Amino acid sequence: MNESDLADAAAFEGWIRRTADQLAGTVLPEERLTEMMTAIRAAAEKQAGSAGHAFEQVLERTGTDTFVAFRALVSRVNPEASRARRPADLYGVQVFDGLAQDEGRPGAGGQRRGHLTVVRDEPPPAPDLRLASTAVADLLMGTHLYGDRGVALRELYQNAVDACRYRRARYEYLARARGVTRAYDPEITFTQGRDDAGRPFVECVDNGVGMGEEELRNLFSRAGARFVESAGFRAESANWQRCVPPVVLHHNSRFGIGVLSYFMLAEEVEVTTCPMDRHGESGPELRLAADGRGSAYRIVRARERGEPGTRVRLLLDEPTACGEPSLAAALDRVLGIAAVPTSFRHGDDVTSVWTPGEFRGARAAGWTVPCLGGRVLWCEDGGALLVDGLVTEAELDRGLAADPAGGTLRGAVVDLPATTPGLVLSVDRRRVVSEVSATVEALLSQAAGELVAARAELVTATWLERTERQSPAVAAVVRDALARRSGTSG
Amino acid sequence: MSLTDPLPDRFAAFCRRDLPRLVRHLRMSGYDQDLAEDAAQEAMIALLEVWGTGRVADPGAWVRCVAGRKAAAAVRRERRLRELHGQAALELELSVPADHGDEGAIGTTLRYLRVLPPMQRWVMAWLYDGYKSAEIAEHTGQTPATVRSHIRHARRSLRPLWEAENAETAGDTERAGNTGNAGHAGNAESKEADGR
Repeated sequence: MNESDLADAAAFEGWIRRTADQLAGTVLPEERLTEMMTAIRAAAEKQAGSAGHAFEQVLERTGTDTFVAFRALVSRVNPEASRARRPADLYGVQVFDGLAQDEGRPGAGGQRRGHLTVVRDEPPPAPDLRLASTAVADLLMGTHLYGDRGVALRELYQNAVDACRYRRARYEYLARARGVTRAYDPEITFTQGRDDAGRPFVECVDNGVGMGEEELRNLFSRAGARFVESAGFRAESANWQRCVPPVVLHHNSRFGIGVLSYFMLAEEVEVTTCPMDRHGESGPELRLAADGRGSAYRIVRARERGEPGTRVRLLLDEPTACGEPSLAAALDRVLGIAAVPTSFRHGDDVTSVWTPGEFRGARAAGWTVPCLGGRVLWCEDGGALLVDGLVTEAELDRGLAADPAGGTLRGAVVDLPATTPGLVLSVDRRRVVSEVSATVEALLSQAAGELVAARAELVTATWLERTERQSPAVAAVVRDALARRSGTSG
Repeated sequence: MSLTDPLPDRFAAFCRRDLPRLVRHLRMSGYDQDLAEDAAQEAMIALLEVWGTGRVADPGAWVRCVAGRKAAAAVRRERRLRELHGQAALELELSVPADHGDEGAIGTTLRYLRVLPPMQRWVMAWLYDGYKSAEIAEHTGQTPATVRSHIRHARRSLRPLWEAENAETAGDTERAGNTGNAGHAGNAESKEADGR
C-alpha cells in the first residue's frame, strides 16, 4: 500500500466514523425506535412462556437430549403434537399441521399412514413427509444453536466418520469370522458449489456403510437418532464381541442436535445413499429429496445397486446480500484432526485436506511439534482443546483448560478422545462442560517432557511469556519440564 | 427503568443503541426500510431469549447475522409467494429496494451503495458498525484479504461521496470539484434526527 492509499484509507475511515451515527439516526427516527422498543417489551413479557424458552429450559434440564427439548418446543407451538404416539414423526408435517390422522395405534400392522413411503420410479399420489423446514428453522431461530454454520458441518463430518467406521467394523468382522478380507480406504469429501439449477450447496460424501430404507426414512424423524440403540445393531455387535479380539466400533453419534442442525445452514436437504449389508454386499441406491416446491420430501429408489456410501447435500439459503461465504473456513475452525482422510473442495479447487493424525485448522500457527503420537501438538501461536479431533471450547472458570482471557488453550492443541472419563460435552458438542483440567494437565505434562527433550530451542522466553499471558497453567507445565530437564542433566 | 420493565437494563440499553445501527446495517446491505425494521426487531427479540446465558459472546455480531438471515428469508418468502401466484417476476432483486423517499445523507449514501456489488455493500454495512476487517472476515465467513479487497474497491467507488464530505468537514469553503451528488451532507434535518 503506498502513501496516497494510506491517506485515502484514513480519510475513508474518518468519513465512515463521522457519518455513521448520523445515518443511523436518520434511518430510524426516534419515534420509530420508541415503537420498536415497545414491541420488544411486549414480546419480552410473553417470552417467559414461549416455545424457544421452553426449548432452552429442557436443554438445561436434560443436559444433552435435544430430541426431548425439541419435542417440548414443538408441543408449545402445536399442542396437538403432544398427542403424537410415535415421536418419530416429530419433524414431519403432521407435527405442524396437526396429528389428527396419526391417531392410529403405534406400529399397528406396520402401517405408516400419511407418512413416508418408498416408491419406485413414480411419485406417490400425495406428498408424504413434509419436512416443514421453514417451521423447523423458525423454531430454531430463537435458540442459541441457530446461525452457527460450524454446527451443521460438524454434524455432517461426524455422521460421515461414523459411517466409515461402521463399514470398517463390518469388514473387520468378516475378516475375523469368515476370513474374507477386503481393501477399504475410507474417505470423506466436502464440496461447495452450485447445482444444475444454479442453487448453491455444500455436500458431504462418504464411502461409509450407507443407509437402508428404514434408516433413511427415520433420518429426519428423530434428530440424533442413535443407530447403536437399534435392535439390528445390537445383534450385530453381539457377534463382534465374540471375535478374538472383539471388533469395536467407536462412534460419535450419541445425543446431540443431530441432523436437525442441517437446517441451520440449509433450505433443503438431499440425501443419496447406498447401504452395505453385513455380508459386505451393497444394496439399492436410495434418494431422499424435496419435491418441486420444497415442502414435501420423498424417497425414491434411484438404482437397484449402487456403491456403498452416503451423499448429503445441503442446498443453502440463496446468497443474500452476503454473497457466498466459503464454508471451508468454517470447517477449518471446527475440524482439527480428522479420523478419516477428509478434504474440502470449492468448485474444482481442493481448498483443504486433512490427513488422519495430522493437525490442520485455523487454531494453530507458526511452528508446531506433535507429541504423544499426536494427542498434543505444541504450537507457536494459537491453541485449542479438541475432542475426537473437533474443536471445542472449555466452559470452565478454573483449571488448565480455562484461560483468563476467556478464550481457549494457548500454546498447545490437546486432542481428547470422546471416551475420556468424566468428559461431558454440551448439546451442540461445541463446549466441554465438565472439569477435565486434570486429564489435560497430565497429557500436557508428559508432552512437555517430549517437547523440551526434542525441540527445547523452540521454547523461548518470548513464547513462554506470551503463553503465560493467556494460559498460565500451560506455561507453568513447560517451565516445570525445563526445570526437570536441567535438574537431570546438571 | 421501572421495576416492572420486562427488559433487563443492559439489554434495553443495548437495544436503544443498536437498533438504529442494525436498521442501518440492513438498509446498507440492500433491504428496504420495512423489511429492515421488521428483521431488526425480530432479531432483538431472538437475542433476548439468549441474553444473559453467556452463550452469545458478541451480541452485536450475533444480532446482525440473525437479522440478516431473517431479512433474506423474508425476501425469499415474498419471491415464492409471487411465483406461486403466477405474477410476472417483478424484479424482486435483493439489491433493488424501493426507493421510497430516502432523503438527506442516508438517501445519498444508499444511492451510492446501490451500485456496489453485494459483497462490497455487505462489508460496508459492517464497517459502518465499527467492525475491523479481521472481525468482518470472521462474521461473514471470508478471508481477511478478501474483506480488505472489498473495502478497497468500495472506497474507490464511493470516493466522490467521502471526498466531498471530508472537504466540507475540513472547512473548505470551496466544493471539491465533483458531481454535486454529495452536496447535502450534514444538512440540518439529519443532524436533528441524530439527537438522541
